[in-house]
Amino acid sequence: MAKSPLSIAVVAAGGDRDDAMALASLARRLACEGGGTVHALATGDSDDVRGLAAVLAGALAATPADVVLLPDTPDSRILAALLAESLDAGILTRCTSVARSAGGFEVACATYGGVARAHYRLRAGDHPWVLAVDAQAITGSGETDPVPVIDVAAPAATSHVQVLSRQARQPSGLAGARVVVTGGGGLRSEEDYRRVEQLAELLGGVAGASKPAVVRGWARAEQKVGLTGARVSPDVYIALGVSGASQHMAGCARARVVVAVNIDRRAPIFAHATYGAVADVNTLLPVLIDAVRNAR
Amino acid sequence: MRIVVCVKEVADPDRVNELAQGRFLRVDAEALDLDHEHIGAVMNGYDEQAITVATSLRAASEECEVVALACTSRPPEQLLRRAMELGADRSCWVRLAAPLHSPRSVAHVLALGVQFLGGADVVLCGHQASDDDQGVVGPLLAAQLDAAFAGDVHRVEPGRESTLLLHRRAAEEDVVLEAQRPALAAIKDDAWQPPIPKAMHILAARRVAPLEVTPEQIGVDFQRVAGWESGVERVGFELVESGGDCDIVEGDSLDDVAAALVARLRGSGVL
Repeated sequence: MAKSPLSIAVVAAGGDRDDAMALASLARRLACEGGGTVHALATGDSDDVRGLAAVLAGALAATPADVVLLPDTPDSRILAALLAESLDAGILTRCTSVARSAGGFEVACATYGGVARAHYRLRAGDHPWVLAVDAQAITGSGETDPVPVIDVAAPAATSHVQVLSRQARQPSGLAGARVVVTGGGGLRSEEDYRRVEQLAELLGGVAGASKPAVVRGWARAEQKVGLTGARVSPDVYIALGVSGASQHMAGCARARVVVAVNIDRRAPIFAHATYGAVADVNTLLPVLIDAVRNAR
Repeated sequence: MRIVVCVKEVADPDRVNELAQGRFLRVDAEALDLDHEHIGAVMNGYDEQAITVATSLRAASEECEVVALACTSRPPEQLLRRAMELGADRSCWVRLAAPLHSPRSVAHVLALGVQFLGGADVVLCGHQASDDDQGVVGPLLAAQLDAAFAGDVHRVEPGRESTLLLHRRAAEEDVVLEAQRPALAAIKDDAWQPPIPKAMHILAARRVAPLEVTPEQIGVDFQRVAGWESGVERVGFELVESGGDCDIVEGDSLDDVAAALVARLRGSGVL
């Protein structure tokens, strides 16, 4: 069966615009197979995500698309769902690859916290598809011809929700950090987590946390690295007392080098680590801090 | 006020991780899913958080009930008992003939379930389910119910008149939203810890049976659902292999281990 021409829209909203633009090359590639067009809709942030989805759906009604691509980030995932409802479209998120096939698309999605991948065949033609795609997982990205961008004004205030207060939190600094040092459930006390921060500072990096360190109140929620926390892509990721559960590893899979310290040699973190040490992190950490200090 | 909490049973994520750790996870080639034989089922963690948020809102409100709602083909006895133990007043099961795979189908059935219960002032969903990780049923459901929506919510309070205050922890800021009822919040609380069920709730969980309804009773549009279900077909499932060739540094003392790590860090360019 021949592939039919596709109209593909890439939606870039607020802070996710860079990731969205990275999807333009995927869109171009999909459109090249069988012909088609690509355009982008760019908009800002809005506290009323339903209002934002409504204006984007209006814009998409004027420039219809067979496939709408958004970056797979928490905010864009919600936007994707609301757009799917407005456009009466099918939806999949957590997509790590998208390819055209006869009659539709072949899509892979991360599942079970990243320990597995499900492959789907989506039928095209019945209705549009909204896909939230992990921009970092798309291979073959590169420079492509510029995509025409339509600017869409984000709604300010709507009937759905009103902002009563807004308080900026101290930024975690994890995004863009070259070195991230993360403390996890293997740490015994808050004092040990403070040492994690100390090591991060010595290395010119930023302190992160896995879920146990946040639940115990040692680290702030925005320091959590993982599937439902920050996604980092540092040169070096140092995981101290982190077990390496798939939900955590989903947040640091893009690190170039992973260093692990864990007392349990069977801990899954070692399956992801470039190098590591089997040791009690609580006793090793003060010694490591001294060694790093002396090495500088 | 009625609070409906949508709940789902998932493969125990801790057990999945444990099996992954030992490389004991297996694929069910027929079901194109994990082999669940050695994995128990639990309530999705974010859904447990949602029930906690719901019971706190009930405590701050007058004449308020919390209803747990599930749509599944497998009898959700354990799931709904857990919901009651965590403080739900009653529960409802939409008994499906077969599992639904499209989140749009799930949202459609849940929306009709909420309406069958007499509507809701507040609907709470977990941020995402820990099996498919899709995280879209909440916003889809909000759109179906024409309800205000906010994600990353960790607390809900009664507001003035017919409004609700949704405390949202966004990426870089804490935001308090005032939402008109009905509102739907997707719950995520990174600092949440499971509460110890109270004896009265444990007893109620044993005493009060779920309200069981069929898709026909709530008016499910079968043609519509069939369209969504046939549009997406799972054709493969695989485990993601991790590297496994970690260079373990060793030493006779902690000083030796630290020195070896420092040497590797130097080699990686961070020192």
